[in-house]
Amino acid sequence: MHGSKRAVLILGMLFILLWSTLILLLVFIEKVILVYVKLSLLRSALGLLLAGLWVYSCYKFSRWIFHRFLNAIQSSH
Amino acid sequence: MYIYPIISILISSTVSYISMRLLIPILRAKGIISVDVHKPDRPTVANMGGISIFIGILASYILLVFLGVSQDLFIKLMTMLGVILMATVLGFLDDLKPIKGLLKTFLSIPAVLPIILSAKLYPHVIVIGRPEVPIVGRLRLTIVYWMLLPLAVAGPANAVNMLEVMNGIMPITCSLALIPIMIGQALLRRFEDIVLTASLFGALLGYLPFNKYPAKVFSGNLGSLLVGAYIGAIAVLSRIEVLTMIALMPHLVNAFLVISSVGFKERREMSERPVRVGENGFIHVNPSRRAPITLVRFIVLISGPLKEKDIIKVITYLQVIASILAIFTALLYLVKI
Repeated sequence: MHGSKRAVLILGMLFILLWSTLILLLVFIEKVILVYVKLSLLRSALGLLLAGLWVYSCYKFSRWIFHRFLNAIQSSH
Repeated sequence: MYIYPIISILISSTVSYISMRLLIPILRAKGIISVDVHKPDRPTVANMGGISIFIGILASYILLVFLGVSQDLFIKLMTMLGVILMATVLGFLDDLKPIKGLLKTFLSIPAVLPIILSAKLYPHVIVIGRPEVPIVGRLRLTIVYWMLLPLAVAGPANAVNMLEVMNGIMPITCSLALIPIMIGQALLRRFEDIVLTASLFGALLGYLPFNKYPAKVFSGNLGSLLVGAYIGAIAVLSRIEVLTMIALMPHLVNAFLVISSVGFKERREMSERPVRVGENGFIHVNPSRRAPITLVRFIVLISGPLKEKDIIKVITYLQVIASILAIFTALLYLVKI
């Protein structure tokens, strides 16, 4: 596959993955947290915690993919 | 009312285009130039082209005020003007005398103040702390939102600034990001806010012919901070923070990667470059583990050496994907599960 097409495909898939996990998170907040957690403050705290975890996982996952490619290029040299 | 966005686009694009055409020789004559480092012959290019984006937006605002907009839209126009003035001044100072990365991020935080002031003076027009979230609906974040508010304008401003590394990337990606934002505003029936977005959209369209590859002018920090701050302010005013975050995904991913690898350092402060330019014009990845992780380095790492034009194409396609995802996000505003 042409190099630039490969980059669009892999990074595009990463974007789609980040987006779909965000939507799943929103569905979880709507269907679980907002339904079963009665205390407003706890709902906010849980929502924020999950949003923070999502951001952290996105960051870790992006870095993990990057380092996989970097390791591959370093081992080939 | 529906004619205002069209007027905004026409005026801001025309004024931005004409002013840029007139300004390039002046900027060059004044010695406001920078080296285009991604080309093998390293040509000099006029800098601070972002000033024409500012002029384009200002012209559309003036015309809208003369046409007699509603009081609510007038308040929003003045709020936006306050935000972009603060971002433009910061960018201008940074272009004149480089400011360190962390300090620049800190100094961009007060750009949110005009929004806070307007929200306090006109709470019926500008509502803070009630973001519209797809699927979940309108949230009521009394304390948390105020804690995150300093990042609402500074975040996008610096993220756009960080990805502005190659010819045309800022106007291409940002104008593409504004399309789902306008769709979201329309779906949420925030018709007045579309005028604000349309002003920036038009100014970017008028500016693009001069900044696209091979660039005749660079935006400078002035341009990228102004555009990023503007998008952040639109997100807060229209309460479409989540949608805007998706639309700016390439910028945010790039910013996260850079900050996680080298902190808030500016390009000029980095000891190692993320990529290097070969004699044949191909851009190669820097395999060092100490080099900053950027979106461009990520692209070249996956694809192998690419010419600047091809990297710009890849980033454009990635922005198209992000904009499509943002349109889906906008459509989810209509969904209640």
